[in-house]
Amino acid sequence: MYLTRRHIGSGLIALCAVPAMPAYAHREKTTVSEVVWSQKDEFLYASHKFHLHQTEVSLFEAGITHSAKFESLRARAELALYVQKNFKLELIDGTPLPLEVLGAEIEGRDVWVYQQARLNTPPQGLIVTCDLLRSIIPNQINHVDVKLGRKTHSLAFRGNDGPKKALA
Amino acid sequence: MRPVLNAFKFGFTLSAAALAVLALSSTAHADGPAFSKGDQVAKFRQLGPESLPTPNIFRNAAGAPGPAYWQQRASHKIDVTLDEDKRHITASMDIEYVNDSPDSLKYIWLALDQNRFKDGSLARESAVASAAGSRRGDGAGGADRYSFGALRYEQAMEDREYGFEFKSVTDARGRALSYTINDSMMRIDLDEPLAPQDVLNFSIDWEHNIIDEVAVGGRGGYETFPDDRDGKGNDIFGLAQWFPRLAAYTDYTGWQNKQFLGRGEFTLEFGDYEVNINVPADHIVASTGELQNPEKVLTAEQRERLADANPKKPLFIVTPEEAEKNSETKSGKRKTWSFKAENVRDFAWSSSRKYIWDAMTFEQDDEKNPTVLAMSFYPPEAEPIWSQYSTQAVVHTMDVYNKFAFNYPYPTAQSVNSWERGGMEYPMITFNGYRPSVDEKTDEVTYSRNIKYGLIGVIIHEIGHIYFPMTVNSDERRWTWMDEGLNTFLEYMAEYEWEENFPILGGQQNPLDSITRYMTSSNQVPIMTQSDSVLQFGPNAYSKPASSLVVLRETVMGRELFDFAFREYANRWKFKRPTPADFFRTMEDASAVDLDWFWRGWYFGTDHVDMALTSIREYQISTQDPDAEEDFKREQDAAYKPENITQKRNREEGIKPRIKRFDDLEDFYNENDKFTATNKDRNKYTSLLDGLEDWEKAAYDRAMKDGKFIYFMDFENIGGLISPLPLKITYENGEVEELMIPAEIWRRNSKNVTKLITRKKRIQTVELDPHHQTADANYSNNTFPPTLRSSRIELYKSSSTRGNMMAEMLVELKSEEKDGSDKDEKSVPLQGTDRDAKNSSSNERQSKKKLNKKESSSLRKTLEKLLSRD
Repeated sequence: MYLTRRHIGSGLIALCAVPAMPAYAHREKTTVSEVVWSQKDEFLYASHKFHLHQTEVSLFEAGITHSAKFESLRARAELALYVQKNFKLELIDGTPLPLEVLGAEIEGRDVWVYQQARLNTPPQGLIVTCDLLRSIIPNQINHVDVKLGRKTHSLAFRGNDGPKKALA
Repeated sequence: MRPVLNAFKFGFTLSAAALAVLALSSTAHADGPAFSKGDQVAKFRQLGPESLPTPNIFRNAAGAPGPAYWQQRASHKIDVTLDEDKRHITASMDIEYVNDSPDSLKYIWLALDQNRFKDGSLARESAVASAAGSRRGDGAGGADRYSFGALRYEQAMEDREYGFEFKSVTDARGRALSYTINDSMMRIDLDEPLAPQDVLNFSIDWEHNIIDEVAVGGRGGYETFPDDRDGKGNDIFGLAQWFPRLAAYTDYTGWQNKQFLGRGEFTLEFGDYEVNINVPADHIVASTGELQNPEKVLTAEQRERLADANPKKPLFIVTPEEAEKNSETKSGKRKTWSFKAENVRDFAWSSSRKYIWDAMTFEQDDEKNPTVLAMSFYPPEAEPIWSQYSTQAVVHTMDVYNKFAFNYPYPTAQSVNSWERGGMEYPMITFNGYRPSVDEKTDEVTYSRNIKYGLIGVIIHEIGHIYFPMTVNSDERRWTWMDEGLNTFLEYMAEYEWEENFPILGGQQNPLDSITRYMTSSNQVPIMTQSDSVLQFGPNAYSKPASSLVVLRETVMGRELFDFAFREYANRWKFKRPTPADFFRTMEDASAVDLDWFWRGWYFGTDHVDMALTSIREYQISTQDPDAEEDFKREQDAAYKPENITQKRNREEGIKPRIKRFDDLEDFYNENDKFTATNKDRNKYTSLLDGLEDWEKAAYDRAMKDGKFIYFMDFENIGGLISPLPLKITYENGEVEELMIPAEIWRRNSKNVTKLITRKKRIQTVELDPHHQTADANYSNNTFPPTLRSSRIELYKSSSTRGNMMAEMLVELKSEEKDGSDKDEKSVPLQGTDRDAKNSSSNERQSKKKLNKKESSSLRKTLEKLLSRD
């Protein structure tokens, strides 16, 4: 068997902060994103839904947000910036779509982050890069639904998954 | 016979396509061959052997246990000792196993769930890299990422040995029994086959280390509070899936001996338990069953308080102050708590000196258990919400579930805060998470709305599991939805009855609005998928089946029929083992509602609901009297063909048409337009009346008197999943009517249907599914005339205040980032060895993952910050 030796040390290997995560007998660790083109105003919208408590605790303990309470506007803005850095879209020819953060809001047990990009025509396909909480929470899964016309393309990002395509 | 409609011509008011539509609607049930692409009636075809097993003598066609139904029985006597310092248990167990099956058994299987944590276990060896440090071992793909959690997990595994260590396995006469361990299953080979109706008595002595629940995860273990006792610490112990448990032997699958990989839960045999638990004398023990020796383990004061428990409100047995005090010292003495439990399928317990204990009684009209003792056990860190809500939530669960299923079947019901979050159920005892937090600024203990409702929700859910599957003993390892789905549905029902607008699912008070995201996704599998192969486990096994039952109750069957049938299912299978077919069949059998289409769509398929109201055409029956219809036709023509703009502007400019300037040019046709009745028309009308039969004439006269409006409503099934069509009709006079078009309207054509309705009043608007009771994924096509609906993101955008505040904050944060205070966290590339460098393809992959200097630097900062924290 070919074994690879790795050095464990702060200068050589990434240690991502992981909050205490007790057993969840009944909760799957997922984020859910939806990408949809709006004919009404010719924008491409991305909305991202996170489990509020899980995200509050994990991002705070990872040092990404200054507070573990997303009632704080600053903490929500920090979350939104985190999403901006970790969720990217490109047109099928590789042209990046500059997603602008619209904001973040809490609803019940979830926190939502919204992004938009001006796009005059419906995309023929999209290349999605998504790494939301996956480097922080073990087994985190990112579900991304790309709605192109009447079709929904569901992409699941796990582990170290790189960019994925959704074609119209 | 001549169809009566032929006697009339329809005066149209909204559409010119009346007759064409009539023709279409009468021919729109074209069918392809069965199971072909064009098979329009497939969605209503009865479920056959391709979907459901053939009824037999064990399970009949009505969905009830058959005349030869059987199940095994396993009773246990256990003495267990907790070594608090070593976090270790030692136990001996006598088992009585009754073979009620018609088969002779050469061997029996026991489940060794603790072996999942053993070095070299199937669960650990098969875990993929991204799952390292995970709780369920079900991660997929990915590597080259190493989290603090994974590091702590590996260290915990290195530090201590986990899994069962057997001291002896002997028969009733003390002779060693031969056994083989295959990972998390143990096969005991019998000297003589165990014949039907025979009883096997045997004993097992074992010990094992208790897992570090926080580092390792799982459904039990210990949690440490390091600051207690001046830094010496205290633990909470939760012992679940802690003893070798008899595997189920069933008529539908034989031995249920699928290995335990972490996700799939279990099904076991019912039996009686007598368990003696030896713990430090200052511990409080919560356990499955009833305490048998309170006089030996409780103080007189505690016993008095327990006797005072009443149905009005919870009373403390151990107060918060007493628990705080207990946490400060450690007893060197020991006590043994004895518990008995009858007819349970498992046994769990918890122990700690930190526990606050409160109790309340729940009264029910039940011969065996008229009074149930509801109790909660929690550390001071769980206050103040636990004393306020936990036991009340336990009682509320029984109150509501009793209405839907059967009386709570045991004498105790307990909620234990043995970990910070999540929940897990065992007979009579549940382990539940959620605790308040300490505000970093004020140092005050606070809890959010999310924590509060999360706590109430998880307790209802886990106590609910004592009904499903702890009593209705479905097979969790095979069909997770049978307990999680049904129980989540009842959890919703209990939450609705806790308070209005309870945030039931994802913050929404209507779970049917939340489930559509999952149901429109393309990477889903049917609910009826074997548990290990399920994608998107949560919505598949929990919220989709639960939502389906909400639809079934509120929209398809109605409450009365649903509740009767559901209760029938629960009672038929109470303390027995149902399979999915038993549920499907019982719900039909007890209600006379054909639900095959419903099970086919919701449970065997992945379609979603998206019904559209695509068109409405309005008519009134014409008198056919040319003189009476003349003005009406003229008005309608004017309404639909407005005067052309040139002619209108000519008149406004004063341009006089030629015929007005030269009198000789006007004739009969200028005096009478195309709608003016002619003698020919009148003769035709007279001839029409003369040609009517008497009964046709009577119908005609009545229709003329009624003056009803006739509507043809077109519906399109876009999502594919069949649904009834709840309609809200608003009339011109402001009155509102609601009606339900049953799902059977789709039975001949599952794509497009036209519904004819007649009303005396004129309709102004029609709304499809106004109460969101069908799980429709798209409401923008549900109204006529169409109305604009804003998406969530559009609504957010429309709030300029929120948008501006966020924009300002983002600018501020970005500015800080530029100043070098970027706190974003990200994995940095792993640095390979020389050997790795030779692997060019690996390097290529790595290079794609490399981050820029800034990100790498920020990670180092994060890392340093985290490392310096502890």
